[in-house]
Amino acid sequence: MNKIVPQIKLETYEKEVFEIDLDIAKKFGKLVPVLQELLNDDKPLTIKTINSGTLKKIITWCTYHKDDPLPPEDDDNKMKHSTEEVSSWDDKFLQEDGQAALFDLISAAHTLDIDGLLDVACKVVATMIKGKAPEEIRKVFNIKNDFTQQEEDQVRKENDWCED
Amino acid sequence: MYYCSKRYIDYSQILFASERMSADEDIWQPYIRHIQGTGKERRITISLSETLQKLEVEKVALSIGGFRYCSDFFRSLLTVGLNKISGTSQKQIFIAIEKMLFKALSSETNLICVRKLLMTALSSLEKGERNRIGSKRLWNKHMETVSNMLCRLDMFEIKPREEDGKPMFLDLPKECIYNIISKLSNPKDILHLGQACSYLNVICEDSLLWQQLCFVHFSEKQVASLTTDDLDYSDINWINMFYLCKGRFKSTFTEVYGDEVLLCDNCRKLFWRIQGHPCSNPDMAPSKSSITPEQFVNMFKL
Repeated sequence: MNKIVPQIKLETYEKEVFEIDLDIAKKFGKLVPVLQELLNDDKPLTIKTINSGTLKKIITWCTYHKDDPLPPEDDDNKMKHSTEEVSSWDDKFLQEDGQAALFDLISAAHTLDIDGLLDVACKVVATMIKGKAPEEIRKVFNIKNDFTQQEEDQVRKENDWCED
Repeated sequence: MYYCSKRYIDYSQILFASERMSADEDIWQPYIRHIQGTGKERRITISLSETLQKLEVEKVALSIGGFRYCSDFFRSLLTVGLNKISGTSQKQIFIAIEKMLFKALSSETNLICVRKLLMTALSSLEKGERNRIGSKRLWNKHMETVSNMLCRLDMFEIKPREEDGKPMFLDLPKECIYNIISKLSNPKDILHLGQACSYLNVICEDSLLWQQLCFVHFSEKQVASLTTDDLDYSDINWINMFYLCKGRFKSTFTEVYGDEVLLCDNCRKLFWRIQGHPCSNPDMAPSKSSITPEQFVNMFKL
């Protein structure tokens, strides 16, 4: 092991401790100052909401994207860019373990404040919603329809204007 | 993915072999540099089949970003007429379309897009039957393939997500759900999601979300023309504003393509935006132009 690279320690839900190069943990947005303070500490930072499998995936993602340039600051035009811009590596990486794993990854990226990963993972989920009818969306995500018939008719009527 | 009954065929298995081959590639930047002329006179000097191969259109078509662009490109080609396309290219196109269907069915995405593509293919085959290229038998085979694909699409039903104790969409933090919704640029998708349940209905009616959507689809000038001067943005009902703008200015919402063909102005290579290209004049200021699917088709001598 190269000793020069500073490492931070994260403990997962399964109480497994991961050592992550600070170089890679730089992706962890707001968490970076917290992690830097912990550098000299032997005790790992425990994040109970993240399981080991998910953290492994996160480390893989951050390692792959380590040298990515920072996204441009101008947030105004965010949507003018395509919301389908997903590289083939990310596409495969995010979808290979199924829907539940993808949701785990999104929650974890949210907790660890990894903007790039959150962004691309949300794009992938958005593609699952596109072009589907309400009933199909319920099916895909196992969402229970809690509207009464009357409410549902009401909502559908209100949204009528967007149908072709 | 774990269904055994006939209704749910696991299409991902069919795709598996072709996807695996490319899994370990690190730098993948297909391009072609056989471009002549400018503007409307711009032509690709190699054949369509060679272009499809060199630009790896089929592989891009199976990606999230490239699906719609490639589908529109194929539709544009099919509209120009199958009888203007060589037998080799026809074969490449039908193989690509079949894989796109599998991809759409296995990922349960782009289903409407793939239906449009198949309908275009069918009508192109019907129209071109009189002056077809190749034997009647081959033409009929294409017809049969496309009809079968449409049939498969018609029979397809979305696999319901089972209660498996694992995280569900609604288990996501609210901010994440909001983030996902903000990636939907077609208002119809947002409203459909909002119809799924009462919790999502509330999130999907968020005013800021619709405000952003307004400025994605309409210019500030257009929005301003429908408000009075003294009205504060925070007082506006943005769903209503969107509705008003839609009625006044535009009725369809075409989304920007995720991936698309670009032409590098420095080295005159055609390449894919997401993948990029090795520029032979890297010192010059980067400058490139988007090529729409229709422009792309026009670059062939068809």
